[in-house]
Amino acid sequence: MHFTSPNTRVRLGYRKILKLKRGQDFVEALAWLSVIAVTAMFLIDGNIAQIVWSDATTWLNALSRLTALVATDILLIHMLLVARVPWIDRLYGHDRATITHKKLGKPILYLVIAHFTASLFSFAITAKEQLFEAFIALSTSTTNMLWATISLGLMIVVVVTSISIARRRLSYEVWYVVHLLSYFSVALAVPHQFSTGADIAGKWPQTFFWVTLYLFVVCNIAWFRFLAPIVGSVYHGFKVIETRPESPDATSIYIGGRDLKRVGGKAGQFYVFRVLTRKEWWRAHPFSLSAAPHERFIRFTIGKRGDDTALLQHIKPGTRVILEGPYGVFTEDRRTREKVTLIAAGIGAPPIRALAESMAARPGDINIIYRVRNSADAPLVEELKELSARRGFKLTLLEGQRGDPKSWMPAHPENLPDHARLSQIAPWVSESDVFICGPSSWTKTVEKSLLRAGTPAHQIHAEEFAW
Amino acid sequence: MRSSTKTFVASVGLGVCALSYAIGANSATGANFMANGAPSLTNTPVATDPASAAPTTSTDDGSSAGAGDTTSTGTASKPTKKPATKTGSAGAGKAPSSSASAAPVPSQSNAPSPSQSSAPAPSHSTAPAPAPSQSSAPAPSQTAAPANTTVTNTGALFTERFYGGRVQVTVTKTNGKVTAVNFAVATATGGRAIAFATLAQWAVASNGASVSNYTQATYTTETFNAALKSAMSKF
Repeated sequence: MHFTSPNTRVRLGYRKILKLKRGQDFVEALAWLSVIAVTAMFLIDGNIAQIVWSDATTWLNALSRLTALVATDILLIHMLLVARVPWIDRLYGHDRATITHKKLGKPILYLVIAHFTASLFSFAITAKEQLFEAFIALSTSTTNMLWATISLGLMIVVVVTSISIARRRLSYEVWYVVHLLSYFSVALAVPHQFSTGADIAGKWPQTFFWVTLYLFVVCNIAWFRFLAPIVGSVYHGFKVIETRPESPDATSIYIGGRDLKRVGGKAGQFYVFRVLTRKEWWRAHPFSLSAAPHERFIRFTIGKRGDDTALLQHIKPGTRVILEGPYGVFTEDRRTREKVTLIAAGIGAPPIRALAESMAARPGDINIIYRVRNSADAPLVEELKELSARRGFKLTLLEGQRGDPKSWMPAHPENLPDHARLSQIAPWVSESDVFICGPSSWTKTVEKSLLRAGTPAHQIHAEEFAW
Repeated sequence: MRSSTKTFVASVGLGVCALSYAIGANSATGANFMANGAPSLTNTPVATDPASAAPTTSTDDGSSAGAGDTTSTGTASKPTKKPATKTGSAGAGKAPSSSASAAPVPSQSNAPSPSQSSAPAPSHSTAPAPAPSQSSAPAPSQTAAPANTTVTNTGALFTERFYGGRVQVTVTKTNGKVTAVNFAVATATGGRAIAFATLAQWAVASNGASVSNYTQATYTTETFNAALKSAMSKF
């Protein structure tokens, strides 16, 4: 096996964490300020101050408009979070952005439903009509309202198919196609905001604010989500050059192309991978680099997980692929200490393997812990052994069934708790940066025992595959 | 977010919202009727009786009572077309303007006089400019007409779909150009009556073509446009 030479320098210390936090606070403050700005513009128009509270339609109307404004603002932030925008990714990582995106989904729907209900009731009261007739009249009137009503319907479908209960029952394909509808849902709702929206139509500061916000979000999505990956893949001409089985259920895929130096990924990052065949092109797979970036190839190692990743094991050399990325903050940039502990489980090994290859370290600085069911079918175990031998790292294979269901380690004859065993394996674990990669529930238990072993939270780095 | 940033953002947010609330409470701004204070929030009938307002000598009020009973602008039966009555004097068109003068906004003139007609409403950028091609041309039916020919027509009565407002307009054309749009009937609820004066100004400015939406009075605008079209179709 050929290994690329590791990094020779790394900046350590807590200062870069402070800088990172400052950046995060700036972005979060901007997001909150946009909500505040929207509310303030609403208030400046006297919408709340001049309400006659005895008049139900007036305050229903105000409620309807305020909820709509706030919902639209949060919706745009919500969309920006999954646009795979580099400046968000660098600050938060793809996983945290996606988790926030998921959290915002339901509140937005509730606000939009409040907007819809308040408008409906205010119409029904003033027109003295039955609710259903008011609904029909409201949604079929000429002012783009039919589109807005369809948009609401789509939005409900998108959120319902995304809540965890439904998500478990639906296949990825169904969820994915339904989720694509959300773009239509947002687009259909735009006309009525500018034509009938009393807080935007005909008021230049508001129009300027909203047009700017929309354009900003649309441009970010259009470029980073759609155009940049296509342009990059066409330029580099990514192709599968080789597949190599690593273990009974894992295969490495080598991607070649032009000018790979300029792709710019780091060990620990991942790409979103699309195979350009007629059946598979639309399906995106997040794969971590399983070797440090190389000037002749990009390597991914893929586990067989039952679904279509099994198909990818037999991908033919010469097949064109699209790579989006690199994404993720599971890299040496987040390292603050000299000592490092790398903990992997199963198919979480690839990014750990890449980190072990590229991290700047002296012999003994890095401690690798690899949890496997049995070392025969563990992916990349031979490479990790060879790397550790060459660079002087300690590699511990944790093999076998676990004893306690709450443990992340194999059964132990004396039933020692995980954190005590961890301190035995890696005596300076509390002074090291810990990089964990594995299934998310397993990762959580590892984090818990790390905290008990005394590792500060800011030295624990884990990235979930949150989709 | 760190707690210091949280405190900062929260206090800025509260401060900005309190300030905006104060500004909102102290100013009456824009074309938003909500912001125009208490009087506009009460139900203000501008002219409640179509029978007394409509019958001016020079107008065609043929089927207006029948059309007034329909609740949908889309299905309002088109009144039978009667020949327009031509009057020689410019003053005839002012007859129904007294009905519109009861509109509750003192700051705005409710019945646009012919002298205002050439200038588009300055405060509304959305108002369409008067069509220059029609402004100088004489009315088609007035081929051999002398100067200062005034024609007045009243359209059918239309009822707003949601808020129950009623609109019937009288359009005055002098030398083929719309010089005044007056209301034979103009009722609205929830303060939307404030839109009428502006809508009439815009209609004069657009030379009788449909006007753009008056914010917060979308359905009033819709009904007004239907009434305007009905009146214009009689020329």
